[in-house]
Amino acid sequence: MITFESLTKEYGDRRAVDDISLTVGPGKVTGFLGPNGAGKSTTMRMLLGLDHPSSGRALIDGRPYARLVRPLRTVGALLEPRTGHPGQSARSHLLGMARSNGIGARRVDHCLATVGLEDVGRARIGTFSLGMRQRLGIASALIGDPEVLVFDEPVNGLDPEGVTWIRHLMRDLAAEGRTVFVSSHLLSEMAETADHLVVIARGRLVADAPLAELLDTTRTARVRTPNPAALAEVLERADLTVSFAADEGTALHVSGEDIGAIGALAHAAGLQIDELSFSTATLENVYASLTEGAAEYRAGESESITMPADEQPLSEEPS
Amino acid sequence: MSTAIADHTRDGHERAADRVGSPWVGAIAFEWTKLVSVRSTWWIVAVSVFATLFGSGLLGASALASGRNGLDSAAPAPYFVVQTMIAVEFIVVLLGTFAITGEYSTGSVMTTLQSVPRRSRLLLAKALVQFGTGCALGLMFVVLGTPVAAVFSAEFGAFESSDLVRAALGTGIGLGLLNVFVLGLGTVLRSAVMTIITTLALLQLVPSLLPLFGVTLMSELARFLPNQAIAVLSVDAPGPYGWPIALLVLGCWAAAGLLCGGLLLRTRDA
Repeated sequence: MITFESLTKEYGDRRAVDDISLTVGPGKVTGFLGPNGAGKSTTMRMLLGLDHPSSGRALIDGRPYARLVRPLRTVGALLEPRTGHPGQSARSHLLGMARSNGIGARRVDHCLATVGLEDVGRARIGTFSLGMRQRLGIASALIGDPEVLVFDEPVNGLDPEGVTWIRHLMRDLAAEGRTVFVSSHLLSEMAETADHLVVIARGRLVADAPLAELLDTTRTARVRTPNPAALAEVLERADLTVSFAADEGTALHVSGEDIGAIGALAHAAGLQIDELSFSTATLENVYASLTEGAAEYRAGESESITMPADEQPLSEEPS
Repeated sequence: MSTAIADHTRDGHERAADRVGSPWVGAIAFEWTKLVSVRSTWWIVAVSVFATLFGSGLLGASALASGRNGLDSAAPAPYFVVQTMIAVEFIVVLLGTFAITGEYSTGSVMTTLQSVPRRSRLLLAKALVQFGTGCALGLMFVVLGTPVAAVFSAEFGAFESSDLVRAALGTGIGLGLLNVFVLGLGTVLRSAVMTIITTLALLQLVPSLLPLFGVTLMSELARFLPNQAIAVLSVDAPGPYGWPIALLVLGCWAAAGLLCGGLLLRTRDA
């Protein structure tokens, strides 16, 4: 269980992470989504005690990372592809980590095998490809067999086979009841993997909801009926939002939570339906509307100049 | 796949039972593992041993040549080895430098801080490993270098076993504490180049610059720099102060370096 309590990080007068309060629960994959520079990495670094929050707290099982006695047994993390020292072999890198937390050497070979690096365990990390380093990073995260896993952009540098592999891995970890918190700026990736989405933009939390719910809120239906006025009245009584299609007089556009009940409502009211079709807004649209909204809101509030997203500072971690 | 991820004893309570060793032992084992598994460590050891043997032979031969020409160049052979330390120490302190700056430059500091998040424990574990390594190397240099110096200096390098013991212990402890100081310095500066330059200045430049001012206090101060203290510690000869003070002086340098490094490590972002 991961908890953020009003977590804030300021660099000078820039708020990289702005008052984030959030609980990430076990047994599911929680996607942490946001454009480059939104504050994802900074948030994760604070969670792992690498950076100090300006205010607020990031807790794991109710404790800050630095208070965990053998942290690798509680939290496993993949932060960036530069895992370990390039002059070290993969195996000794993992062995060092294991020893630091009182973990047996048997677990090292087990983890190397899990990520498919058992044949190159003696090779120096400096000779590894980006994909191999990413796998080693995942082996490092798994070394303590932890209940909480934190992955920052885990599919970076992986080939398609590797991407599929890590998706399955994350799903399996969650299915075992672990907390899996994974960041990405790739929406399609999260759509494939996550059960729950947390979206941040410009350091602010803009959404925290199950993936299905995020998609549902933007689902729309198109209904064609000989009697649009009567049907609209019935649907509006069921708390659905109805608008008349501009182009043709007999069609309605319906949105709302209970959108699946349109057919049943019409049937109960004895109204004829000629056509009923659903369309799901792509997650891209949801994402775009969420992140844009936040950008405008923030710019208006602070009266600063709004920069296009691609002109934002790229670095999330000024060093 | 799921069975492949999990350990066979993946149960919170069960796993708690197999926890052995204190976090301190773990942190020290971690640092030791990193030190010996990086190739640069062995390169540093090899080069420093070679430099010691080469320098010991050279100084021994020089003493022999000078002595045969009637100059008073005789000294106990172990002290010829000690003299080479003025150069060799710069190779040794690379261990203390890289122990921390290497972590920042390669990003492996992330792994380190995730494994041992307590900054004080981390730095003290590093310091212990660096102290032990410096001690072991210093002892080894003197033990290996003395026969070489003795052979090349012949009758001008005659020594007592007490000379050997003093040189070995003094050099060992001296290099150990120096390494700890440099570790602290590296923690403050986070850059190998800056750490090496600062160390070089403190060990070589400052001692020769301070007396140039002609102010007694500054000349006095120069005697309490690390190199001067190491010299007192490893040679049994009349000096500005005795070995207990030398030990104290070096201890203070090491402690000051660690303290500054520790404070910054605690407050700064990784």
